[in-house]
Amino acid sequence: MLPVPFLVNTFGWILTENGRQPWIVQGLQKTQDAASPSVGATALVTSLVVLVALYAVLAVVDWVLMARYARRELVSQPVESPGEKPAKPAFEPSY
Amino acid sequence: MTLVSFWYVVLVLLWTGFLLLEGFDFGVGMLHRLVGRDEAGVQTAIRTIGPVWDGNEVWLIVVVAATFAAFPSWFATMLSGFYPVFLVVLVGLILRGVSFEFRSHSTDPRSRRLWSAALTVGSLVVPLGLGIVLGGLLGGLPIDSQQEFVGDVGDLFGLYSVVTGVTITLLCLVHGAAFLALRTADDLRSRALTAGRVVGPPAAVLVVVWTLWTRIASGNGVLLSVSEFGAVLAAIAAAVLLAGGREGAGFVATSLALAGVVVSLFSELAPRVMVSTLGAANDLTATGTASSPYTLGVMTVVLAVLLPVVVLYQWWAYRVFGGRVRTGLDQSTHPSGTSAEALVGGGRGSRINRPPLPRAGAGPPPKQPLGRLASWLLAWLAAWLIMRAVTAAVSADGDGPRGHV
Repeated sequence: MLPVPFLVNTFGWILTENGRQPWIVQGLQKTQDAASPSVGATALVTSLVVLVALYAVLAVVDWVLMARYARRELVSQPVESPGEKPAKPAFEPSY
Repeated sequence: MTLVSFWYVVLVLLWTGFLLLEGFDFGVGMLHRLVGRDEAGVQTAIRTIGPVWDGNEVWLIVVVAATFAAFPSWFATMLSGFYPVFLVVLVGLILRGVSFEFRSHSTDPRSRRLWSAALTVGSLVVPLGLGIVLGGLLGGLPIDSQQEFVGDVGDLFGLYSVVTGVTITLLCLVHGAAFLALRTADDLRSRALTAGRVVGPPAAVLVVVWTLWTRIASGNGVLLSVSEFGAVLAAIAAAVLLAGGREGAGFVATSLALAGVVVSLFSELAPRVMVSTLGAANDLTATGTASSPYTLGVMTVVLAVLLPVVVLYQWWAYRVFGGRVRTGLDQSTHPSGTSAEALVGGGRGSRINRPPLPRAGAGPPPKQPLGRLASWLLAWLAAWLIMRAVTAAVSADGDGPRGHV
């Protein structure tokens, strides 16, 4: 079940974007009129490849980290009781 | 002052604020390995910016968003023209942003080295790229009469743009060294000062060169303007002060130098916003690229409401996380007590030992859920009332919304 919310979220996004076509702003501007004439296909493909690759790497690292932390046993942290607070709170901004 | 020039000034202030704040965490990012040296030192160096770097970065988002809202044509030409540079800047920002989290969660030294490298490179590439963009605004790009960039990638890296980028990057480096010296103690502090001593003089020389070049190329002779003269003086003062081991005054000087450079650049640029190398008729101007007076009016009200809030919480964050950061949890020898200890245990995700909030009068302690709920409701009520007042004021004010759907 874990991937379902991610998939639903993504497909919802794709649905809104597709449903609005051919408008980029409904009723005001067409997507083809909004495209940048000075950004060529090479630049677009390069940026797409770079960003997809980057996010793929980050997704893998994220997944590994989340899995690692999910498997780890919970260690009880020392709980701070109100009485243990330092008696004299020093409050000196240095700049 | 017209609304257009007001928003031009706001943008200059936003760029200045961004470089003043994020500038030092770029500098700390570039220096953290060098100054930190061992793992404990590196972690301490990162902790000096741990709680504040992401707040600083928001200023860049505000700069770009304010450009989009106030000067849409400028935004379009700048972002499309500098597309490859902005791609590199974005990748740098992403790598730098995740490196803080991933580094602190990685257990083996190799991946720590990898994320440290990401932090260093990201912190170098972003000010360099943004500096190249700022330099390019004044240095000029091939822009045709349709406000479209018609050059190739090489046109983005003109000599003046690159010199601007390197100047800003070096200033961030000195700024970060001063900040690191200010926020650390003992060995770390002295190594940060050494870094400042080494980078200070070349940065000052570059500021002098850049300022003269900017002034002469703008056709205003060699007599510097006030902000240019201030930038030169501050950059020299920063080098001298850091060499003398005075990081506090040095930090003020690097701040003034950065502010001087940004203000000088934009004041030589005004009333233009982007210079075209294909003739002055193609230059983008502030009035020519601005939004409608209605949009600018709404934005002015929003700015007046939100800016004080932002300034207040940023000030609060710096106040809470003030003080020098030391390696290890040695509170007994700590001159600034809890606030510094908060940083030692700091970084997001860790339990922070916050000093109790100073309270005026004998109100109920804020931990009580009912009191919290009440203040939460009051805050929303206040926000709603302000928005009502703003809407009423704006719709009574002249032409009203256009393009109403």
